[in-house]
Amino acid sequence: MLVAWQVEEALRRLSADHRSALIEIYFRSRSYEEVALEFGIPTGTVKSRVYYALKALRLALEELGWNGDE
Amino acid sequence: MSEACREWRGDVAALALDRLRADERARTLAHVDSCADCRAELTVLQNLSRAMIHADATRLDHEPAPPPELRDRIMLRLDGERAVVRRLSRRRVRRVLAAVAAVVLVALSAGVMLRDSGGSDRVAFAFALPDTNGSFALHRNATGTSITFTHEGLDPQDVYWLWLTDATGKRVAAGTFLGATDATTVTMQAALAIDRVVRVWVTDRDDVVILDKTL
Repeated sequence: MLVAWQVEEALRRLSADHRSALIEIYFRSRSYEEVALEFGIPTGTVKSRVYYALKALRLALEELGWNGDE
Repeated sequence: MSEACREWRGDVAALALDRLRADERARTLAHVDSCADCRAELTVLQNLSRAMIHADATRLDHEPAPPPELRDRIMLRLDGERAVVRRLSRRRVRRVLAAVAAVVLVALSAGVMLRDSGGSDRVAFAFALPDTNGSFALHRNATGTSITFTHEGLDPQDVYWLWLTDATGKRVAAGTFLGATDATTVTMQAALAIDRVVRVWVTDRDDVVILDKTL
């Protein structure tokens, strides 16, 4: 339960671009191509955005006391 | 992840999230198998991906609620802090009590030594008269206290009274003596135990107090 709160709070702290990329790809299970089309950007850019979103998410989680436990 | 693997970043992240097609997945895994940096990065991102399973993206638009365990964690921390404060307070009280005990011990020792020696240090004083001074010392004896009294500058024609007083205010006469211009020592006797003496004082013939020394 604590991890769920930490992840959700960390997601709130991401930039809008990073958050929407993660939500579409991970939580809504949409394909990179589909999201790229919707956002009007190349597929590679979506992949890159998701990567940096994950890096930012990790930093935010660590600020919230996440110790790497799942 | 090194700069050389920059082009693999997106695919490694997609692999961690399990969002690659079969061909992309095989290609990325082949690279990861041969690249220690990307393997390490994949481990980190997969750990993150497993943590994300617990989250509910539909809650992101709502006001964040405190985590359910927050209250228990805060209370646990508070209990810990209180225990530390209690320990410190107890330690402080113990230190103060030890200091008080040490002072009492020293005072009692001094008292015992005073009684064992049967006397007190000589106490100097000034009369409430010009050009006079003196000192006294108390000594235990079989019938009370003897006072060795030295005075100087008192009128030789005058008679003076020496008194002792106990804690209840009861006064006991130690006797009379004549004044002297030069230093003179007299020994007098009062029927009051030395450890009960709290005040030594002298009056002149008009019963005016010219010396008053509280012990």
